[in-house]
Amino acid sequence: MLEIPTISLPATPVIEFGSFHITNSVLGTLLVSLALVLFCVLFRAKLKFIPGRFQSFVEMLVELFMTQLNSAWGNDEKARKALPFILTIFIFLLIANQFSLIPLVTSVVQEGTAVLRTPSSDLSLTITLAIVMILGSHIVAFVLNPVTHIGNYFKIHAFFKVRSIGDFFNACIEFFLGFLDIVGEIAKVMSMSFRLFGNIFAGEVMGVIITALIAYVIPMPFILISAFSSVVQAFVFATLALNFMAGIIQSSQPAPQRA
Amino acid sequence: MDPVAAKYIAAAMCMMVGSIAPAIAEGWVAKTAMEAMGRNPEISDNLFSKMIVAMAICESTGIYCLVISLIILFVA
Repeated sequence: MLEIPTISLPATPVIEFGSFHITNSVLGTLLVSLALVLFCVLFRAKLKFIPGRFQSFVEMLVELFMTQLNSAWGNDEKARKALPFILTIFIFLLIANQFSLIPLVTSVVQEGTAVLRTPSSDLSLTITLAIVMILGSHIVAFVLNPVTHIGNYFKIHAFFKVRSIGDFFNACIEFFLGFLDIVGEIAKVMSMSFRLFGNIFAGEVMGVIITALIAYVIPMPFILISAFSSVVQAFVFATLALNFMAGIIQSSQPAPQRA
Repeated sequence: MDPVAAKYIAAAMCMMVGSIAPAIAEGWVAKTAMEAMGRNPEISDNLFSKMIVAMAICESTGIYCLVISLIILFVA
């Protein structure tokens, strides 16, 4: 039987203050966040009006999301307000998904388990990101226009326009569909979190098992596929976050008047 | 049968059934994208990145089956 190192789905706690645990993926998240904050502080000091190569690359990333935001929001200044959140998610996930490619990071070992773990291979991080995004956009939509927002989910307005028995049945169906929309919101959270978690965690498990079998040349294509799909999954997460946010917030606004 | 064997069989069957539909869906997306690129080669680059994103979303249900089978193997 070959020696497979222990793979655990929940993250293992590293530092414990009584019953409060700090797990190894929390430490990984802190490391990535620290690196990002340092990078932003250093980069901002060197912004020039005529961009160099690296600044053009960062501007290209921003432009990539600004086009999508504009088409989802239709309005440039509101799109700009949502840009920091979406871009933070994208850049954080870009780096966090590739965490195991950084050399020597996962080799820091304490009592047999690694002290740092890829952040998005822990379900806690992905569910937190998804919940924050959906709950945040619901709160924003509720604050902007409470009655319309609740009315999107409890569709009582159809009951007031009933003129015949057929209309009454239609109103009942609309009411039921409103409840199904609430289930749909929970489905959005679950689908986004599990997609990201499944991709990254499965990539890690595959890497561990293949390396346990043959350590030398064979893991290379698997690691390459993991690297490529991490970038794609970060982009998909950010794009879906953008579209869901736009959908929830825009559906509580009155429909735009066409000239 | 003993529970350890049942665990392995369950994980394998979960992945077996769950990888049929995403494969068909992604092949379909690729087929339509190739046809469109053949008909209109100048939008190739634009269409390629959108095709990759569509494939990543089609992959989702296969990934859900993978997560369930990993949970069966490592947690239960």
